[in-house]
This record gives sequence, C-alpha cells and structure tokens, in this order.
Amino acid sequence: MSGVASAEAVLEVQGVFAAYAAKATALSDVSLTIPAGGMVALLGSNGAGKTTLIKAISGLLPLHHGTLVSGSVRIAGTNITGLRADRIVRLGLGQVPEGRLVFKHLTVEENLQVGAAVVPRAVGRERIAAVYDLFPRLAERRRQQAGLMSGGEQQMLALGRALASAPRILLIDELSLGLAPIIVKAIYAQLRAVRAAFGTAMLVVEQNAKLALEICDTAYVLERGVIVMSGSAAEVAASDRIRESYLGSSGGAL
Amino acid sequence: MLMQFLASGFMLGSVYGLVALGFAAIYKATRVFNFAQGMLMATGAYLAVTGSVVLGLPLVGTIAFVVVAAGTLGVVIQWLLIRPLAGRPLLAMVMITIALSIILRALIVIIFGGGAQTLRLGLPEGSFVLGSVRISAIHATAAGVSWLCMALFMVFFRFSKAGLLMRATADSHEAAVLSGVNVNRINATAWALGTILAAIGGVFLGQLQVASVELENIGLLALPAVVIGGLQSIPGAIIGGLLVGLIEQLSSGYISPKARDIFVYVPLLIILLVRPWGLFGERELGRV
Ligand SMILES: Nc1ncnc2c1ncn2[C@@H]1O[C@H](COP(=O)(O)OP(=O)(O)OP(=O)(O)O)[C@@H](O)[C@H]1O
Ligand SMILES: [Mg+2]
Repeated sequence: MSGVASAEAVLEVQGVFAAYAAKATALSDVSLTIPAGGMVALLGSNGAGKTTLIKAISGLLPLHHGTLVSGSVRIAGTNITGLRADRIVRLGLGQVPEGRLVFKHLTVEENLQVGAAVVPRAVGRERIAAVYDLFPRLAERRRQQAGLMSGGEQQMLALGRALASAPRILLIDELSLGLAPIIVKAIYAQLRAVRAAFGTAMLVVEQNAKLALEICDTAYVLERGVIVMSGSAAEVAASDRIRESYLGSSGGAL
Repeated sequence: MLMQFLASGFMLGSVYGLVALGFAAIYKATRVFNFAQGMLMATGAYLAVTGSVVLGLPLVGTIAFVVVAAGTLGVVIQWLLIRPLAGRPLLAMVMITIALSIILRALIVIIFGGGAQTLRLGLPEGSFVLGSVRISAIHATAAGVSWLCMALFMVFFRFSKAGLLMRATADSHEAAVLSGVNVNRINATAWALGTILAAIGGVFLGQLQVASVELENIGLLALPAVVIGGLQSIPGAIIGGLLVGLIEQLSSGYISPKARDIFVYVPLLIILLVRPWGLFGERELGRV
C-alpha cells in the first residue's frame, strides 16, 4: 500500500475516528487508500463498521446522528472532510447504499435521471444508455414504478443510478444482499467492465469474501472499528485469519 | 338553484384548490404540516394591496410584485425557521408554523391596521349568464387563473428537472442526498411555490371579499381540503379544494352559511377515522 503515491490516489482516508450518539467509537484510526481505477474490497463481520466507514466518506454520518470526530477524507487530492453529502457527490463520489434506497414512487427512468442530474445533460444521457446496456432488465422496465420491482431489480437500479452520475469513485455496500449468487457474479463482472470503460475506482463492501477477493485488487479487513489487515487480495486471501473467519475453510484450498 | 350553487361552488373551490395545492407542495417536499397556509393566503391579499394601492402599480405590475414577494417570503421562512429545525419532532414543526401565522397576523395589523381594506385590481367586473346560471366575471377570472396556475404547477412537477428532484426528495430524503440533490434548495423551492400559490389565492379572495386578516379562516379550509383529498396526493389537493367549495356553497345555500364548517369538518373527521390517507392518497406502508 505504501507504494501508492497520494497524488494519484482517487480516495484517501486518513486516521478517521467516527462516533454515534449512542456509540462512543465506531471507527478508530481508520486509514485506507484507493488508487485511480482501483478496486478495493472492505471485509469485516457484522457490526465491524463497514457501513459507518462508507457514510464517513460520503458525508452521510450526520443524517444518522453520527460524527466524523477526527481524521480526513480526500477525493483526488481535494479535502472533502465535513462537506455536505450532496457536494461530495458532485465531486465525483457515487454510492450504492446498504438496503437499496431507490425512489419507490418514481419510474426506473426517473430514478436514473435523478442520478444523472449532477452531470451535464449529454454525459447523463450517455451514461443512462450505458446503464441500460449493462442491465437490459432495467431497459425493459424503464416506465415501471421502482417500488414495484423485485428486490434484485431494485438493487440493479440503485447501482445504475450511481453509475448514471459518472462517478470517479463508487462505494458499494453489500450489493449481493437479496441477489441470486449467479446474478451477483454477473454484476461484478460488469463492474469490472465499467472500470475498464470509464476508469471508475470502487470500494466494495461484501459479505461474500471469497467473491470480493476474486474481483478486487486489494483488500482491507475491519474489525470493531479498526483496520486489522490490508494488502493485495491474494495476500489477504492466503492469511490464516481470513481463511478461518471469512472463507469458511481451515486450511483447504480456496 | 342547484346549478347556481354548483357553479359558484366550483369557482370558489378552484381557488381553494390552488391554496390547498400550495399546502400539499410544502407538505410533500418538506413534511411540514403548515398551519400558516391560511395566513400566507391573507398575506397575498395584503401584498396585492401594497402593490396596487401603496406602490400604485398597474395590474400586471401588482401580480409580478405579489409573485416575487411571496416567493421571497417562502424562501426566507424555509431558511430562517424550517431548515434549522430539520429532523426535529413533528410537534416542533407544527408549533413553528402556528407561531409564524400569529406573527404574520400581528405584522399585517401593525402595518395596515386591523380594519379591512378594499382591493380593486381592475379585473373585469360585471356578470354574464351561462345557461341557467349567472356568473360574475371576477369569479370566472379567479377560477380561470387558478386552473392555469394549477396546470403550470403540474407541468413543473411532472416534467421539469427541478420538479423531478422535488419528487425524488419527497420520496426519500436520504436517497436524494446521496444522489447529489441539494435538498435545502429543493425545500426552499417548495416553500416558495407553496407561498406563491397561497398568495395568488389570497389576491382573488381579497378581491371577491375584502383584504382582511380574517381571510385566514378561509385559507385554512386548505387543511380539510388536503386531508380529504389525501396529504400525499397533488391531484387530491385540487379535488379536495373543489369539494370544499361545493360543500360550502351547497350547505350555505340550502341550510345556512353557518352550516359550512360542519359540512366541511365532519367529512374531515370521517376521512381521518376510516381512510386517513385521504380519498386519493396512497396508504403509507410503514416509514423507514
Ligand atoms: N445510527 C447508529 N447509532 C448508533 N450506533 C450505530 C448506528 N449505526 C451503526 N451503529 C453501530 O456502529 C457499529 C458499526 O455499524 P455498521 O453499520 O457500520 O456495521 P457494518 O460493518 O456495516 O455491519 P453489517 O455487516 O451488519 O452491515 C455497530 O456496533 C452498530 O451497532
Ligand atoms: Mg453494513
């Protein structure tokens, strides 16, 4: 990790401490770097603080009665610590939140248009077309009300909405929730295609550690608000700790 | 007689629908139940007095003045009172809007005195006969302009980018924020529009009657109108306004002017008891 010069990092989190009104320390001295176009996995058991870290980056903590106590977050060198969440989106941060927050009363197309509202019209149109190419299912249902789609389709829509904003970096919190494993694999394959096409960097929170380590270049492991391990995906996958707690094997092959 | 009552009910109801639409726009976007809507309407009548009498503006100038001043007032209210209280319990929000209406009333009385003011904007006067009904030109103008404003609002809400972002914010505040929507700006826009719609309603009611702080009571008919139509439904607010206008004219025509409130508020109670989401609203399926 130390090899990554901060100038070319698209996301740089440094020494972040975060707390909730009801929980004194949710993150403790968390640092993490994502190089331009990098795909980074964030692993950790339930309650480790993964979602909290995503909200600390995206400026959504105050909306959940949380605070970023100290530390800094930078996007492509710009300090975004303490900025309003919508301004951070305008600086190129896209987000697929935990629990697929789509606009239930809007149509699929309108959901994507809201996502694209932060970029110039022509870029937005191009991105929405790309989203439809990526997810033909969304194209078929473009006039349907989002709340009436299946859980998995809503998850695709949440991802599509984030992609429509042409983000420099995409934070994805548990994409696989409620999706069939085969679909999850397909979507991750498409995310790699998105990265290849647009150079979008990604931070991927994923319960399926095996899958996450397959598709990402590097990984961080968070436990009780502390980063306990980081390194290339291969290194992390090979560590005993990860094999025992996340990959469900005590020494067997991956 | 029935046709006459229906016609005047429809025309008055159109103005109520306009005021109710303003209320619904504010409620939908910001979840604030605005008890000041009636006073904002009365304020509109006094803005018209200011434009036409105090500033001596012609009709078009007065209308422009009312729209700009009411829009500014809405933004100021949102910025000064509503925005700092975001996320506070409903009760605080309700108290704020009640306090706001009391303050507006006091300001109007201080500036214009407690008495009523006649408002003459030079709108077409007289009346004409249509079939078996006599229609006053002012009522017809009021209804026509109300429908025009409502149509403009619907077009804005359905088809403009700002309207889309407003609907998105109403749908999910958090999803809007993380999609990059400046929710504060959207909320200020909703308050500006809601106040403008109330003020235009006030201009016409001030014209049909007199400009007086007591117009507030008529403006507050927007509340039963939106509750009957469905708090979440924009068309519901318009239809609720029409129903209130019709009920008012029929009950005062056939029974007594005093009967109006009973026939408006009893349906309100029934709706709240059996169908709290209103005639056209959608049942809310548990809030996040
Ligand atoms: N709004 C909140 N108020 C108080 N405590 C919170 C809040 N949100 C999360 N927490 C606490 O912070 C800790 C980290 O939660 P977080 O949601 O970040 O975990 P996570 O790693 O995303 O877990 P999961 O895998 O279950 O999604 C947990 O102990 C949780 O109880
Ligand atoms: Mg989580």
